[in-house]
Order: sequence, then C-alpha cells, then structure tokens
Amino acid sequence: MTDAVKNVLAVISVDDVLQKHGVNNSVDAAVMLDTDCVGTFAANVSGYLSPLPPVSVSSATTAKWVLWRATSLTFNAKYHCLITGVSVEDNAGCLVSQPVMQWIDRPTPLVTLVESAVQPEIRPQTEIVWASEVKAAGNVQYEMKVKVLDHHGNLQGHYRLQSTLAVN
Amino acid sequence: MSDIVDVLIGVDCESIIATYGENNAPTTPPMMEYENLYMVIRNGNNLNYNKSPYLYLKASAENESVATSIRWRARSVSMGFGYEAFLTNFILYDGKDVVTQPVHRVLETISFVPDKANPGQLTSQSVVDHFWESTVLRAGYVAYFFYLAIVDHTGRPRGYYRNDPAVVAQ
Repeated sequence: MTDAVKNVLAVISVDDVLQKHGVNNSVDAAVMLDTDCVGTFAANVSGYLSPLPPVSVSSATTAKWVLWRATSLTFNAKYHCLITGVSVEDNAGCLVSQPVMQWIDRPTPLVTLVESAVQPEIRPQTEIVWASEVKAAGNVQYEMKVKVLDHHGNLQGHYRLQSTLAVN
Repeated sequence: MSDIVDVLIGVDCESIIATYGENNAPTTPPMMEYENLYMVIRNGNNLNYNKSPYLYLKASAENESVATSIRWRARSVSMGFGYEAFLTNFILYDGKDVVTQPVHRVLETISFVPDKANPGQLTSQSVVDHFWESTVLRAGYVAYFFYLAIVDHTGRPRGYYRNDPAVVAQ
C-alpha cells in the first residue's frame, strides 16, 4: 500500500456565477453556489508526499493528506478562484485538524510540443493549497469559501460551496 | 468579435496510468474510456460536468457577427502535483465541416496567489495558458480524438493516451 495524497478540485463556472448571483463584495455574506455552477472532482497521487510536511500521525488509510484546490473553467487563466477558507464537518474523525492554507514548493512539469510528442522541462513553483492530514477513513462534509478575481485582479465576489468527500 | 466556450478536462492521471499502463507512443496511443476524465463546459446558463462524451454547446456560426470559438484545456485534477496532463493533438473524424481544425495556442498570462508573508495581500505570478482552439462553422455534430500526454513531477513522460468525445453545436 503506497501512501497517497487525495486531491480535491472544485471547478467553478465564473460566468454562470456572475450571471446568476452578480458581483458580491461582502466577505461575510458569501453566496452559496449550486451544483449548476460548480463541479468537484477527486483523484489520488501516490508515492509523492515529499513537498508536504511530515505526517504527524500514523493512519491506517492510504490517503495521508487531503488537498483542496479551486479553479475557473480556464484553469485560472481568465478568472481566478482563490480559496479563502475550508471548513470540515468531520463526525467520523477522519482528519487530524481543520484544513489550513499551505504554501508548497514543488517541481512543476512544463512542456513544449514537438510534433505529437512532448519535450518536458521542470520549473520550481510555489502552490497554495488548503490541506488536512488524514487519520482515519470515512466521509467528511466540507464547505469551501472562494474569492473570485478577474484577470486584472479586480474582485468579482465572495462565494462558497459545499460537498462531500470519501477518505480512504 | 467572438464568443468563447471554454472546455475544461480534469484528468485523473494516476488512474489512467494504472489502467492503461505506461507507453512511449505519441502517435499511436491507447484509447481511454471516460471514467478517468472530467469534462466540464457551460451549457447555456448551467455547468455540465459528467463523464459523458457528448458536449452540447450553443454556438454561433462563423458567418454571423459573433462566431463561437471552442477552447479546450486539460490539466491533472492535482493541478500539476505529482503528475501533469497536456493536450498534444486533435483529430476530427466526423463533421469536419462543423468546426475548424483545432490549433494549439500558448499565452503568457498572470495568476494571483496570497503572499506568504502577508496572506491578506495578493502577489501575481506568470503562468502559461495552453489551449487548443477551434471556430464553429455551422450547427452540427463533430466527433474527434484528443490526444494527451502525462508527465510526472521529474519531467518524465509516462504515457500518451487518446479519447474520442463529441461536440454538438446547436
């Protein structure tokens, strides 16, 4: 069994959000988004935990960390979705603590296309994620708060979404 | 003037490698099923996200004042942590007159991240925006292959794969 990171990606259709809810500048009254504006997906990456801090507990699960990320439909190239908070309802006691913001320094593969093949290069990149360490299997419900910026950096609004994650 | 439809493809790289194995076959890659791909698109005022191969989009033809461009982007669900996915080719095989042949485009742009010393402040960093772009020529159905490469965090290509979704321009 190889230790794994469970990656959660929330994809937000900002055009839909702005069309339905308009610009919302109130951080204290973030608008809840429905599933017609948001999709959430999860996938594991195994055997590559070195960019993360050492785990503090010994868990029986494959997943040692859960990382939350958010993006617009353009992978944050047009609108930027920045997570400002993730809170978890963890009745099963799956997580060591509530998620916290982490700066991760990691190598990032970039490629040049040469006909149909890729010619990769590696660049260091600092990534910001929200992370929780895992201690047991089960389901958690989470709420993610997101700040949306346009490509000039202007605030478009504060929103939130809820979903469930299976930790195993 | 154009209307842009963004198609996001979230790729579960680890599951694809586990299912189809590694290879070095950029021009003859194995065919993937849909279970490890998350294709997300706006459809009218709603977000479509499922593992269906069919993407329905409201499009305007090129001879009207507002033509529709389709932009496909793919990344790993981990956004480059551990693995990254790159679109390498598009081949149209049905409805070739519905859209133009997609072309690869690369834009340098910026992204915003919280400053480590002061998280309330944002700093900008340059990022590369890779996408494949096509223009809708008329309403209709187009079926295509897209090819993608999976590269690991050391920069080693782990394999090439393809999938055969469809777009219905309405």
